[in-house]
Amino acid sequence: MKQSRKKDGENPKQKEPKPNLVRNKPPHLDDIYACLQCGYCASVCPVYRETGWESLTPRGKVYLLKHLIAKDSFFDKILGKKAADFLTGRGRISLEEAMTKIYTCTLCGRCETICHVDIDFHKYWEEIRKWMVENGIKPPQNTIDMYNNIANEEYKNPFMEPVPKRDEWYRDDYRLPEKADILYFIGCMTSYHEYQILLNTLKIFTSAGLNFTTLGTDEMCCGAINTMSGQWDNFKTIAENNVRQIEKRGATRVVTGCPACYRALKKYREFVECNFKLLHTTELVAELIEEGKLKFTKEFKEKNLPIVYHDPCELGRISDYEGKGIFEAPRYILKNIPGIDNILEFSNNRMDSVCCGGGGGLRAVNYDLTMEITLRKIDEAIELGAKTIVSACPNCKAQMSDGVKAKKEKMINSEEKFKMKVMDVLDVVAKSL
Amino acid sequence: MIELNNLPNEVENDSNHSKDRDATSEIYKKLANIVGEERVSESNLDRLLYSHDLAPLPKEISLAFKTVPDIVVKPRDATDVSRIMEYAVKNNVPVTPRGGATWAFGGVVPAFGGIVLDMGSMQEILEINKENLFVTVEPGVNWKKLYDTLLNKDLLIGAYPSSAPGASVGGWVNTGGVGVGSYKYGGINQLIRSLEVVLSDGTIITTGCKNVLNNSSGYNLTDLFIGSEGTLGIITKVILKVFPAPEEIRPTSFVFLDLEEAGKAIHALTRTNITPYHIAFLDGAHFDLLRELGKNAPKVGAMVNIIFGGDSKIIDIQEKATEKIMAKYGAKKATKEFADHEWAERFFESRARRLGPGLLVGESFCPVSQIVEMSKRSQDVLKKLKMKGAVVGIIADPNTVLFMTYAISNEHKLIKSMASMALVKKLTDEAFKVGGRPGGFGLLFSGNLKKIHGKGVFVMDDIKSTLDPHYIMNPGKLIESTTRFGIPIPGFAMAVGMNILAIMKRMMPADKTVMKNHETK
Repeated sequence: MKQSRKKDGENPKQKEPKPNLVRNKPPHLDDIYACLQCGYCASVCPVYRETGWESLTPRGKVYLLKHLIAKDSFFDKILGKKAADFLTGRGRISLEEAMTKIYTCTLCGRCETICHVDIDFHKYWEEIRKWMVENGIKPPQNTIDMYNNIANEEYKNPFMEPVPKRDEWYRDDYRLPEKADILYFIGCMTSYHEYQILLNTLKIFTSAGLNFTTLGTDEMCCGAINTMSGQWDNFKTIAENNVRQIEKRGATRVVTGCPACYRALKKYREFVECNFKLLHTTELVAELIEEGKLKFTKEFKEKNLPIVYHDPCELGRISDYEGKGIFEAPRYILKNIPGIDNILEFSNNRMDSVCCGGGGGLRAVNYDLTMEITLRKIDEAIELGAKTIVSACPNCKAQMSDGVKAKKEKMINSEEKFKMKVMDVLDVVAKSL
Repeated sequence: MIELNNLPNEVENDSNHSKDRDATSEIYKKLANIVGEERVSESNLDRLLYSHDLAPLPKEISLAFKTVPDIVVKPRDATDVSRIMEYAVKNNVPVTPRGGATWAFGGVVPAFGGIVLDMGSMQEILEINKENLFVTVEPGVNWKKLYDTLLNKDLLIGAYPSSAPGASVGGWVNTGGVGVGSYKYGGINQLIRSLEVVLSDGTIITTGCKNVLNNSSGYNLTDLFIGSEGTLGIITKVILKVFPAPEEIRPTSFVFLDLEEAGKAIHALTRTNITPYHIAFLDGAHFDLLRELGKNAPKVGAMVNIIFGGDSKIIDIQEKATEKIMAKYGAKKATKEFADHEWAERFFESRARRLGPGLLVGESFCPVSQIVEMSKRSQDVLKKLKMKGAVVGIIADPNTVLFMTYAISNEHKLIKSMASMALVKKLTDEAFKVGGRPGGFGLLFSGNLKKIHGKGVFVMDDIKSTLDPHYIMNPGKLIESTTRFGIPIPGFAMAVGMNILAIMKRMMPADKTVMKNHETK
């Protein structure tokens, strides 16, 4: 019984061409060889902090890649690969296992801040994943499903949510113009899961009197998950589709509240001609506050003070590596909210901000691990005495809200009372209008 | 956790673990029963990643040593380690403890396979005691993290390795390190109050007293384990002295015309009562290489970084006195910004590896009185071996210099990079000639131990066989170099081999560094 099942599983595999990683060298080959193996990256890696396995450190992954692409050594040639493997005790490495290790990463890019030999890890990991997929190594099944869902005309998002649901939250309440100067690119996470941010953003934009619109049901997933999971084939199509829709609405400025969308939209420029300026919502709102277009009437609830701000990796550090990091705009906004005098900071903030755990598609690959990373983050917030964690990313918000729930479940039997709110910067702004 | 039928007391029929797959999975079952399945791995991938450290050992090294472990275990605490050791001693399985693996002498690379204990899994700071000025940590704690955590609580660890962001506390204890801050506070041996160690038979011992000095009569067990490279026991807890944090840490940098003048100035400085926190010196060639990398580095003959720590007013006085001495040897003081940058760069001395790609580091100690001589000799060695590199180092105490001369190699060229390893041996030779000693022994350089200690090595042998009668604690390191087939490598054979490599290297064309896409201005 067992044997037959094994055979069934193996047959289709044999038909596929074997990945030849030795011939098809990965990008950034210099970086792989430059790696000193000093392990500084491990000291800042959130995944290593929770798992403790060498194979999940950037150093270990680079060593693994170096091994996978190595030509047969002198030794292998003389003795033959099998005998050499037996003597060295190394043995064949399963590519599937290697793939799982490479994908167990939040792509937070913090390893880059400390790298001894300046490897550009923020793009390195993405490009390695792309290279693996191009070489026929299958990414985790969940990411394949997401890819298919995005390509599916019925969904156009990774979560298998129907297209009409995309604008159902605001369709009836807001009459948005067909053409406008500013286009709000909502993003799938905000549209389907963190719609509170969506509603608050619309509320803020309306009360500031902005001439803006959205793509409505024409919006398609930005493709961030494709770039993160290395499945780039249809990225150009996605880019073309979204850019065409944006141009149709005559927008000169595109604003999005999701850092993943922000980065993906930035990447569109490599594939399609884009004639719009890209902004994150916090930048636009900071501008509105500066121009005096937003009037705050209510104070931030005292029972939710103090607040601590978490820098989303993609908005802060990684965007900084890609040109301009957005660190100050969210802090500027929060400082202007009546009732908030003091913003707490995590011990590692701005460029050193520790990932909330939800980045890089890891939520889809190993959810339990991301929860452990999040719980550590929440523990630090508790230690700081914060009552509210504020971020500027729907993914961070979702992840940390889950973390707070998990923490509450953990503390269900303890006598201590635990209260923590997770909010987006725009949630805070909307509450004070 | 999976419950297996009563685990211990069942000794396998063949006590030597064989290559047989079943035997290996037996280890797996037993160890998984102790620490839980998620903390054990025998997959090819994991075993590969635990078979190396910083040193770029070629695959061919497996002819002599079985560098790939059979299984990797991540213990949670001393009890776990104790039970693992009990198992190992019963079944005669070699055990190699591993910390941050940031050394380049193969200390954490198994010589005979067996179990690798990844101590990185024990990384909690257990107690920070401000009242009695000590901190209790697990061996896997990262030095930089410890330094930062303590500084946040207004405390200072005296010294830490120059690889602090990667190195672990246990690793530095086992290599008897000196590093940043040693000039003022001494090496690791002067900073430890007590250790908790698991011996080869699983006994857990404590070597000192956490509150007070260990200097009274009685054999000093703590020092026995410092620098033992894991050959005597597994350190599971380290109790370190801590100091009140200084009011200020003020880095200063001095630019010299050449390394000779810098050496003289350092010598003069160490003969005064000025006690900087840390002194480091760098050859001008180091900055040349950085420029080749496209970094914004100055063109200098040599650079001396002197860092002061303490009360600002006292630092003012010391800084002035230091400036006077440095000026005597033609030094120019660099700007504050530059000095701060150099201080931040203290962990990043090996950036030039990218140029090779490859890097070799030769660690050797020599007296400060010989600093000029030794730097000249080191530069000569580099020249003779036709290698590109730089002489850098730190002052470990008023009469000890630690040279960490590095050279770039090319890992793509097997024979050339093998021959380049002669550098380490040649630098060691020079250190002996000027009255110094090499830094570490690890997998390949145990021959030097006898050269330093003479008959003392026999005493060390006795200690080893008393504490580890089955010879399972990191075998093949420090005390004796033995290949996987049981043939020992005597010191002289290693020396002859290394000399042959050196001659080869001298006959080969000079090393070139090729850097892609770099901007040299």
